[in-house]
Amino acid sequence: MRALSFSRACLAAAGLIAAIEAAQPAYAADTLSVYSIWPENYARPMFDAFEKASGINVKFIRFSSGEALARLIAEKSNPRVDVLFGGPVETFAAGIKENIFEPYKPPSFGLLQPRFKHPDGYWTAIADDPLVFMSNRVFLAEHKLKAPSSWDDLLDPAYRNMLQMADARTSGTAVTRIFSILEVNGRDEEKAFGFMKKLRQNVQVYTKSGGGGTLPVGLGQAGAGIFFIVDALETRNKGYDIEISFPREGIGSSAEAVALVNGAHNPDGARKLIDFATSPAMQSLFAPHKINFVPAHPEVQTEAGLAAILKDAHIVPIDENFAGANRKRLVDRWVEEVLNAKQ
Amino acid sequence: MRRFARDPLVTGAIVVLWALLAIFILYPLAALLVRAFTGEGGLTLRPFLTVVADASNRRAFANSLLLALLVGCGGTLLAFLFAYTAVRARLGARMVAALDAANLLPLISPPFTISVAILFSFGPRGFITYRLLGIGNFTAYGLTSTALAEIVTYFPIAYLTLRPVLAAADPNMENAAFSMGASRWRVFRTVTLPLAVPGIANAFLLLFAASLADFATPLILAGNAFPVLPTQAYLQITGLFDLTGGAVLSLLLLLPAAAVYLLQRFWVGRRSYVTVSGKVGPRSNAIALTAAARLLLIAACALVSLAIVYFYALLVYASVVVAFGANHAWTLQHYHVIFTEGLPAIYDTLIIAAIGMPLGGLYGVLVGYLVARRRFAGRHAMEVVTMINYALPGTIVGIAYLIAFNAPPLEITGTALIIIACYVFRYSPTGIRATVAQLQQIDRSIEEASLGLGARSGTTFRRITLPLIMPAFFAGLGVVFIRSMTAISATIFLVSIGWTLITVRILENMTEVALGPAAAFSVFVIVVVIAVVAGLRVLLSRVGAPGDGTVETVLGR
Amino acid sequence: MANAPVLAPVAIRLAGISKRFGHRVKGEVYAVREVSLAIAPGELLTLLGPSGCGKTTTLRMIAGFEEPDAGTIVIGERDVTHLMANERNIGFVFQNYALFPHLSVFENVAYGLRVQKRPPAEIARAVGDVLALVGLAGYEHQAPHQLSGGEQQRVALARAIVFRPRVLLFDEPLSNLDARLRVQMREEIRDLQKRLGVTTVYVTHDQEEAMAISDRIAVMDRGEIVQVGSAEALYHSPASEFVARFIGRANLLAGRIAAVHADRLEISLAGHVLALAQGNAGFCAGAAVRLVVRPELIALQARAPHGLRGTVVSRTFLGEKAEYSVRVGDQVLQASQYTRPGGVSFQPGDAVDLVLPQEGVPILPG
Repeated sequence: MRALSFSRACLAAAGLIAAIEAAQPAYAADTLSVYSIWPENYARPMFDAFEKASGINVKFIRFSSGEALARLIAEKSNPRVDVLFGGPVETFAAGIKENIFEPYKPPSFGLLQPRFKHPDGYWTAIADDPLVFMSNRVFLAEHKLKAPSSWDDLLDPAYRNMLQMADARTSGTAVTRIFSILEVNGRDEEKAFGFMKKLRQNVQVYTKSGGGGTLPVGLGQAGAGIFFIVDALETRNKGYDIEISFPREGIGSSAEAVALVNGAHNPDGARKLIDFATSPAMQSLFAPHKINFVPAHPEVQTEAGLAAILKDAHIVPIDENFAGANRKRLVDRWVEEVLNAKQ
Repeated sequence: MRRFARDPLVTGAIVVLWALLAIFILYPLAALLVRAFTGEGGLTLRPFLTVVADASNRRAFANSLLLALLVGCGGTLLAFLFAYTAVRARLGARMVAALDAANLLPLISPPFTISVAILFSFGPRGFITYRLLGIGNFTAYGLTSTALAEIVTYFPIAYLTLRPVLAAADPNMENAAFSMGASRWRVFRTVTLPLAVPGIANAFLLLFAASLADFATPLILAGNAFPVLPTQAYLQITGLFDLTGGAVLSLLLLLPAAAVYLLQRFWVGRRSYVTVSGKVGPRSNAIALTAAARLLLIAACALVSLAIVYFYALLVYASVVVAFGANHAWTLQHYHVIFTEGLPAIYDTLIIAAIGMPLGGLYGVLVGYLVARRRFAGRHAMEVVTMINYALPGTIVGIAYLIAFNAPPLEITGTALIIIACYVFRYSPTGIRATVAQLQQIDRSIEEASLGLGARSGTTFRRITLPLIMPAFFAGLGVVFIRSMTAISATIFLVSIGWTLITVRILENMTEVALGPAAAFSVFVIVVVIAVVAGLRVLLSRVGAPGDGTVETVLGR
Repeated sequence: MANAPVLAPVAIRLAGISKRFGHRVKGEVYAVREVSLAIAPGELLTLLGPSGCGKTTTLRMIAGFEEPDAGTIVIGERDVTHLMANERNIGFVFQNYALFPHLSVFENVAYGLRVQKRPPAEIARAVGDVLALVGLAGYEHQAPHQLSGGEQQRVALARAIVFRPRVLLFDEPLSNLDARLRVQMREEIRDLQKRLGVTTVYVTHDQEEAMAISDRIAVMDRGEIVQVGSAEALYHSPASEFVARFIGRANLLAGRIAAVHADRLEISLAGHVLALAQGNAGFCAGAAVRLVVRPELIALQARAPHGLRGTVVSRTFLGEKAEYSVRVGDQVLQASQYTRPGGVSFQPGDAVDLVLPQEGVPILPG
């Protein structure tokens, strides 16, 4: 072994680390750092368009909603990012308590429906994402079933151990689902929980992430599940043989939001990004990029194909204030009575 | 007997090491403890009590222990089967190499590979259960499949530990028993097996600890009926946004992990059956197996090896078809994706692994040398402290680093340094142990000769000791590199805008139903690791003392 | 157990035993080549030779740990050539004792008896007896690592004999002990063997040990038996230079047979004619020969009538004797003289006359 003295080796290593760190662009005023809850292939085109329009460079990393919020909370005293982009509203609602957002009302604030914004401006919606039933066509054919068109259809014994849906402890999809069931039962908690307990019998697994069950349903490992339409359409686009349907009693949807991080290094750039995201400039890009969210801004048309699917769907609005106030209690009750019920 | 090292270079090294250990091991642990026991009004037991009072957490704790027990037993059994066959079945060199290769795959692969393969094979429409055996509605979630996946993933570790133990057994023991009229089975039962017990116990404890810490496999396979602690801790933080609760759950894991470590160190370590006297005489042959036994063993090993290869074949297949399970057209688009969109992650991971590898290797050798050869105050304490991050489950270390390094005095979240530090201080202990073991085989008088000839301790270390412990050094390099490429549980908390890792991308891809890129990333990681490990082996054979078996096995001989 | 053996001792016959193995460099090598040996019942025969000569391999073939590639092994009336080691009823004492570290002394010794499923009372008695026999009474509950080297050796011995094997095999059992213990232990082993009357094959590279305890010695070199005989026979009548040098020390003097008479031989060497009062051992006049002359049989005198003239090169005083190296012509001879009061001693550089023995000198071909 060549005689490289130990101390020289250490210095070389230290120098290398310093050089690598230096190679990262300095945190200049024309850069934004973002945590994106939207997957990369959705977020990247949006940020590219923003860069073209504003000249501000966006660096981002994708986290699931839970991870993103956890990081923001952990980094509270020294925030690493300026904006939290995308993700279900209830993630943002949970973060307000922790003081990690700074209120900001973008220009389009007044145009939005009440459920698409926080009254004090802590978050603003950029898209809407309805829940759907997604089922595997081969499975349906084998059991001579039609795609489920009612909540009660999912109680059919044919679905025994063949349903996958999200776990309410970790996924906003599940919370939206629970509130949907509550709404179609007229907010009667006993009826709603009675239904969910029966539904439990058919559930194979409650997945950690909202879209975790889409692959198994696509592959046929599971027969059907309840997911956001974005995830369901993604599965179909990948080539899996699935069918989308809606319950006639109604099903809810969840808004996707954006917010300014409290203590951001570049609050001006952050505001510009929020302005962009809540405006038609960005939301009209959903259609060309095959991003299957429903735009929140009222002046942007939903993409034709998506609109066709949603045409006869009965989407029931979920009151975000009601949801925020009762979320913890209902999730806890769900965990205790539904998740942990003996099968 | 304590006396301060009089050598300034050695003293300096010890001081520097203690500083590093304090910053990167003790400080995060302390931060975690503080966080776990701090409530609104200062130090309090309330978060701890809340977590413990929750029945599902207690169940998760019990489940973790149960799972670890099963994995320990099953994995040790499997490892013993392989080790015994490798040592005693008189296989040709090529067959042993094939066995080793099949074993190596789980060790060097990124997370989720076995879990996903099991899901595809044994799910309700699984390839094996449904298409081959016609069993519908088989459930792949739960204790059985998680245990199976962990056994297959971790048994190579036990194999690498058991094999040298069996190989080093004195064949004269068996010959003596045989000559006294005992049947082969009796010899195995009353001599071979009892003498292997310390090695078996060690293997069991290793597997037990690995299963306790495993976060990735239960995430996919455990289902809802079988919560386990590492996953609960992770979900507590990322699902319920409860960092304190997550900290407490992680600390619960500390208890069995510490117990395992202590058992290993103080009970198993003392009971190794060293041959009672020195010279063994010419290497004699052990009793041959009966032809039937030999065939049976080989068949069993072949079966398991084939299963492992099948799992990985599934992985490669998934990386080259458009959508596994739906569209089986050939395509290279997934590889295209990982080398374009995924290039930053590849780049980052390789840089971090490349930097961490030599740092980890040097650190391991240095600590091993000081601990094995030098007497100084606090020597045992240093040895214990270096093992802490290794013994702890990855989620704990990740959370601890996140809590500790996001605020002054040392803010390194968002940098490569935090990831490199995590890797170096978590995965170097293998190199430390290997160095200590190797030094125990080298007589001190060699170094004393160098000192007597006038060389200073630095020169002696560099020109005499280091070349002699080359195998241990390379073993340390290899392990740090492999783990840098494949680790997830700690680093999922440490990635940032500036630095992202392939394993985290794989997890994301899996969540987004992008199975193709996930598989392509996994194949890429495996190929890179194999290439680097092979390269290290070539380098070692050119540079070091002729391989002496013991440490080579860590690299997968 | 402490008395006469119950079973009659058996003979061992090796006929044409060979063992080959592949060597990385040399290709196929014979560890043992065409070895034939007849060991009498109750005899202690030693296989003696340098390391690598095949003695241990031969022993292991008798034990059944290795199978010969050719030849047969007969123990008593049974052809055991292809019988497994656990069916031959032999006791084997290993060089490194091979005591089971996880068993107590008692369990180590009792192992063979347990295999034979003897009742516990009988086992306890037999183990107690044999431990007393080897001087380790009371050691039953010790663990092997607590014993000294000599004690471990005795346990190994006890373990090998307790179940009354037909044959006892020793593989260099004393090489790990210090010199004094070695002498003591070899005497004990010999004593025990004589008392038990068990046919024994003993392997060692130490010629003194071999001579001290054996009834007969078989000298081996490079896989072959070179000579078999009692210690005295080998010492006084070595069949080759190898044996002559391996057993004791020897000077080999080159010479030529000058004349052969009825009971006298004349040999010319180093310019002298030596008259030996012995037979011609089959050599004719004119044949080139070498004489094997032991150092202690060469007398040094200042002046001797028929001596060989030489110069003392070195003198080493060893207490009971002094060893001299003396240059005679272009050869250096070793001579040793036992110390006696009034004896003459010589210093390096002195001129001396060497007086060679006049009878009983082994003659080898030149």
